[in-house]
Amino acid sequence: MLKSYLTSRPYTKFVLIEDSLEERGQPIFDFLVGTHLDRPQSIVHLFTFHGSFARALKRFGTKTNFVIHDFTSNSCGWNGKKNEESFEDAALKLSANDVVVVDSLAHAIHQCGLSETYRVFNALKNQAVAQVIALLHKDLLPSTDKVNKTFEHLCTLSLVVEPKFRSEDKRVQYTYKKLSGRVIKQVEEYNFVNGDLFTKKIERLDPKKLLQESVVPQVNPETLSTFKIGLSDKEKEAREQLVLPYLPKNEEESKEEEGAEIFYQLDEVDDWDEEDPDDDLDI
Amino acid sequence: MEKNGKEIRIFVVLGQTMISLADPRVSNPVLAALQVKLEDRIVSVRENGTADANFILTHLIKQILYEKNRLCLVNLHNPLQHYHNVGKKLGYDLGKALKDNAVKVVEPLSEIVSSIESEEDYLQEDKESIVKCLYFNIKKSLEELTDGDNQAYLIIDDVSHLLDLGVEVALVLDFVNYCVNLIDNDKISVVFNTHASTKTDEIICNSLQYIADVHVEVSPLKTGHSTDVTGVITVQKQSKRSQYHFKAFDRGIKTFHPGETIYHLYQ
Repeated sequence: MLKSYLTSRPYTKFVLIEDSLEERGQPIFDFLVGTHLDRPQSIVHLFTFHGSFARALKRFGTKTNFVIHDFTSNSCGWNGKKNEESFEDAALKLSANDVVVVDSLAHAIHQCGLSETYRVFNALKNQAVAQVIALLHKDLLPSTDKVNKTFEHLCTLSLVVEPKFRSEDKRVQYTYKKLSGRVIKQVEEYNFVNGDLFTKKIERLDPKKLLQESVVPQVNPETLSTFKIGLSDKEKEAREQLVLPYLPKNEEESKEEEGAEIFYQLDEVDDWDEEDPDDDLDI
Repeated sequence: MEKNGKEIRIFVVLGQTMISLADPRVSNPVLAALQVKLEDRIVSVRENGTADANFILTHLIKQILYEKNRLCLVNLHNPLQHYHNVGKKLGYDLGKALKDNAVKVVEPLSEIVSSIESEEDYLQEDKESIVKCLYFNIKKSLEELTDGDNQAYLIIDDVSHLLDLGVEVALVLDFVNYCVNLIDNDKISVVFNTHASTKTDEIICNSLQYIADVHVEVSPLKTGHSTDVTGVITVQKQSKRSQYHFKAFDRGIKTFHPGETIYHLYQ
């Protein structure tokens, strides 16, 4: 479902992609920008706040429907004249076919301040633009929760990329606010095949199935080695009949052995006393 | 190797390629682990906790001077004499390179010290002018260094100290953006050293990690102090991530894969 929320028309107004160094959201971001660039009728405006301007230009610059706004190479106006247009001015001039893309919301907040950035995005959301896409690096914010929540509240579709778990595909947790007011929260897996995004719903795990999987399958020792490890029925029977000498014996067998007697053979010089030594005792 | 005034190089054939044993990129364990190439234009080095990543920078300087490239060194952590002394042990002559104009040094620390002596307002109220002046110094030095065909490297050791001078995070991020955009000139590459001890430091480190072609992280051992291993180096290039243990000796660093310590230390 996520892919349809992302790409189908009418476009979701404000898509916020939250990522961190642990799991990057750049591939989804690039996919979304690429999708818009493939449609000649939409004009993509990239507001770059981070990294090399030349690299950003090189990445998407070949397309004709691409406009880049530089807020990185001369943000303070040290190299000659500062940008004539502020982020707000440039953003608010856009029209219905325009797609607004911000490559690092965290840098925009550092540069313009939280309140101003929020105001611009709020205005953009209510403005007649096709879509607003912003990438938010969570680990570049001083107080993560506050800023996160603020923009999550504002956006229509927020994606939080997560590392893969129990599967080869990575996960994305999204919150989609429908026009009817219904909020859908879901976790889906995603992957890219030949540059195309594929998402699938994660099936609820069946505890019974999990238990079955967790039982260790019985190993047949015969298959583990070239030696004969097991026993045939006959050998098993012989083993059962064998009585080990150190084990306690059956009562019947011990009774038979009671018949044994001690023969005491006296020596020639043995002083055997026939008398009972305790005879004088009155017991 | 020099003999009777003539340079003699020893070559070894590995597979189909011929390499020189005198090439530090092959023979030096740290440089062999880092594998920083010409196309790696943004390098970020991060020190975690108490670890010291200065040896990464000094080894990179060795590689830069070996490749006969130019260097602009910005010292915010160690004085120039430190690099000079380390260079003697690692086998490069920074003094000669300075005389030959292959290396330019920007030392805000010495300027700060001199401003203390002259009782000027060395920690200026206008923090923007600190980073702005520093950027222009760097830019001017790099313009001089990029005259020829050689690649010029900018090494900043370390960016996090700007925060200690009272510069705000946003301004440091702007300064980093300005320096990163110097690579628009194909002859310039940048190396940033950062240390991560507070949350604010981490913002700078993380910000660089997002855009770096090569990210190097030096951390102490999680298990605590060890006599056999000094710390861990993590080298990340695109999605490839490799990890090494290292041991610091008086005259160099040995690197090895985790678990192979014993084979390398007691040979």
